[in-house]
Amino acid sequence: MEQLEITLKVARPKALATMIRLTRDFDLAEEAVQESLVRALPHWRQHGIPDNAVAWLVQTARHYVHDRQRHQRMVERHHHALQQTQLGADATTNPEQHDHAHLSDDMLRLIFTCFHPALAPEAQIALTLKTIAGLDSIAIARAFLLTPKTLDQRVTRAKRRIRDCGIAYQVPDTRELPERLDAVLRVIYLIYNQSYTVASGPDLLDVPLGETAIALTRLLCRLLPGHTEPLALLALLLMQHARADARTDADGLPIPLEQQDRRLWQRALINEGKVLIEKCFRQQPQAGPYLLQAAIAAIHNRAATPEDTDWPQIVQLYTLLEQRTDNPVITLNRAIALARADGPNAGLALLNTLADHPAMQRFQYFHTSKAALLEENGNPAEALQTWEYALTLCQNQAEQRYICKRIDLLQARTSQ
Amino acid sequence: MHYISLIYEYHENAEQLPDSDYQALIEQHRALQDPAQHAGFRGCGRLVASRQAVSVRHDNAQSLITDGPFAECKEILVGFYHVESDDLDGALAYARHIPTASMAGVELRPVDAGHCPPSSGSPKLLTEASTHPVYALLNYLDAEVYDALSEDERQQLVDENTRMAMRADEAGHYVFGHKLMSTLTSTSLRHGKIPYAMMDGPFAEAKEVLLGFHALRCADIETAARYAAALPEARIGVVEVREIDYLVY
Repeated sequence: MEQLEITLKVARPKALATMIRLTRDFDLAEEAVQESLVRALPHWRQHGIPDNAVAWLVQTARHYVHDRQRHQRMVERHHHALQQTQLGADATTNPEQHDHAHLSDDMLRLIFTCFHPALAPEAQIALTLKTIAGLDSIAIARAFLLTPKTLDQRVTRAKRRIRDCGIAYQVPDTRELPERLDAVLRVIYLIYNQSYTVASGPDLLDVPLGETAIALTRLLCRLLPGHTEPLALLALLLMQHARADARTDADGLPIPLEQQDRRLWQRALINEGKVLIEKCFRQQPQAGPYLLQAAIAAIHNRAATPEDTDWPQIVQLYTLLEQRTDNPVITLNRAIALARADGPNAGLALLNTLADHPAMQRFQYFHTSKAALLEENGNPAEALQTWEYALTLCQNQAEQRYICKRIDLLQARTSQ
Repeated sequence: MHYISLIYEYHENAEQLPDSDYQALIEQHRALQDPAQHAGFRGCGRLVASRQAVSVRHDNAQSLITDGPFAECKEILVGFYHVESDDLDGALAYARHIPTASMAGVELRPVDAGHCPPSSGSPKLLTEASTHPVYALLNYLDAEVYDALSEDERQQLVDENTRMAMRADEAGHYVFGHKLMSTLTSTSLRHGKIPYAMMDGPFAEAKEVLLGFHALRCADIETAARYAAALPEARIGVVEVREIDYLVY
C-alpha cells in the first residue's frame, strides 16, 4: 500500500466526475482521465505527488481534451458537447476552484447520474462499478455471470441512454432527494447481495463486490452528512459483511446462520455497525427498513451462541418492518423467527398464511424454510416433499447441493 | 465498549486562562479522573501546545520531519479521556462532565476492536513515574482515503502499527495505543451558544482525521519521530508527534 496508488485510487473517480461535468461525455471524460493517469504516474514518481492530485489530473485531462479539439480529430463527434460546455471559459479552469465542495458536488452528480431511475438496475450497476468503483469489465462480468462483452454493451447502452434521454448531470433538489437517495441505496444493496450470492456460487470469486458496495455507501455517508438512511444501510452491510468468512464451508456450500462458526465473525465490523445503529436511532427514532434490518442482524451478531439469540425481540423488529414495507419475504422471516421464539408450529402457522402468495410459491427460500420447520415439527413425509419441490426452484449449484444433502439426510433418517 | 473523547480547543483561548480559573479547571478534571466517582474512567492525557509538535510524513520515499502541527486548524487537539461504557449514551453522559472553561468541544469516538486497551486496574499518574517524557504519535489520514481502503489494506495498517508497537515495546518505550473507529461513528459536543450541543460527525472540519494514537516513553522527540516514521500513516498520511505532559492510566 503506497501513497501513489492510494492517491490515484481516490483521485480517479473525482477527476472523472469533474471531467464528465465539463465534457458531458462519459467516453471522452474516461479517455481523458485515463490519459492523465498514465501521465501522472511517472511525473509524480519523479517530482512527488502534488498537493491537489485531483486538480492536477483534471488539468491534464483538460489539456488532453483541448489537444484533441485542436487537432480536429474528435471535433465532429463531440462538437456539440464541447461547444455547450465551453471548456476554456469555464470557471473551474483555475485549480484553486477544485476545492472540497466543488469536488463533492461533482461526485454526487456522478452518483445520481449513474443511479438514475431512467436506467435499468442492471445498467446502473454496470455503469457504477465501471466508472465510480473503477472495476474492470472482466471482474464485473464474472461476478454477474455475464460475458465481458455483454457487460461492456450494458455500459455502452447506459451511457448512450444518458446522452439520448438528456439525463441531467445534477444532484436532485431537496424535494426529490429522499426518493432518489432511496433508489441509490436500493441498488447498492443489490450490489452487496450479489456478492452474497456469488460467494456461494459454483466457484468462489475474488471480486470485492461486497467491499465495493460498502465503500460506495461510506462515500454517500460522507457526501450527504445528516442523512440517516445511508448510515443505516452502512450499518446493515457491515453487520452482514462481518459474517462473510463464516458463510460458506470449504466446498463453497452455504452455512446457515445458526451453524456458522461465530469466532470467524469480524468483531471490528460488528462494533462499528453497532455504533452506527445507535447513532441512527438517535437521529431518527422512526426507524426505516435498513435500520430495522441492521438491528435484527445486530441481535444475531450479539449472541455468543445461537441459543443466546433474543428471538422475541427479532420477531418484534420484523413486525415493525412488516408495517414499513409491503414485502412477503419479511413475513417469511418473521415466521422463521417466530418458530425459534414460540416453536415450529407457530412458525408454520404464519408461513401458511403466505402459501397463496404467487411470489412465495416460486420463492425457493419459502419452501426450504417450510421444509426445515416441517422436519422440526415431526412431519418427515411432508418435509421431504417440500425439499424436493424447493430443489426444482433452485438455480444456484451450491444451494442445490445443500438441498440434496438435506434430502439424503432426511431419507436416511426416515428409512431407519 | 471503549470510547475516546478527543478534547479540542480554539487556538487563541488555549493559554489565556487566569490562574484562579486554571486551578478551578484542574479541580474539575481531577474529579473526573476519580474512579470512585466515575466507574467508567480508564485514563486521560493532556498534550502540550501544538507549536511544540513535529509532523512526520514521507516525501518521495524519504521521511520528512517538520516543526509544528501538520495542519493549521482553528481547533486543536489538546487532550483526551478514555472511558468504558455499555453504549454511546453512557459515554456521552461522561463527556458532558468534561469542563468547558476554555474548550471548543469534544469528539467522541469508539475504540476499534482488536486493539490493546491499556492495563486495567486502578489508573495511576504515569508521567511522575519516569524521568523520560511520554510522546503521543497521532496518526492522521484523509477520511476519503481511509474509506477507500479495502479490508486487507486496513488490516495491513493495523499490522504495521502493531509491528511498530512491538518494536517499541521491546526497547522499553511503549506505553499504550488505540485505534479509533471511522469518523462516521463520531458524535461531537460543541460548546457554543448552547453548551454541549450534540452534533453528528467529527468535531474539526479537516480533510485529515485522527485514526488512532500511540503513547511512547522515550528520551526525546527525535526518537519518537523515528518510530512515527515507521508507521504506514506517515507514508499515506501524516503522523504528528507531541508530548503528553499529564497522563493518567
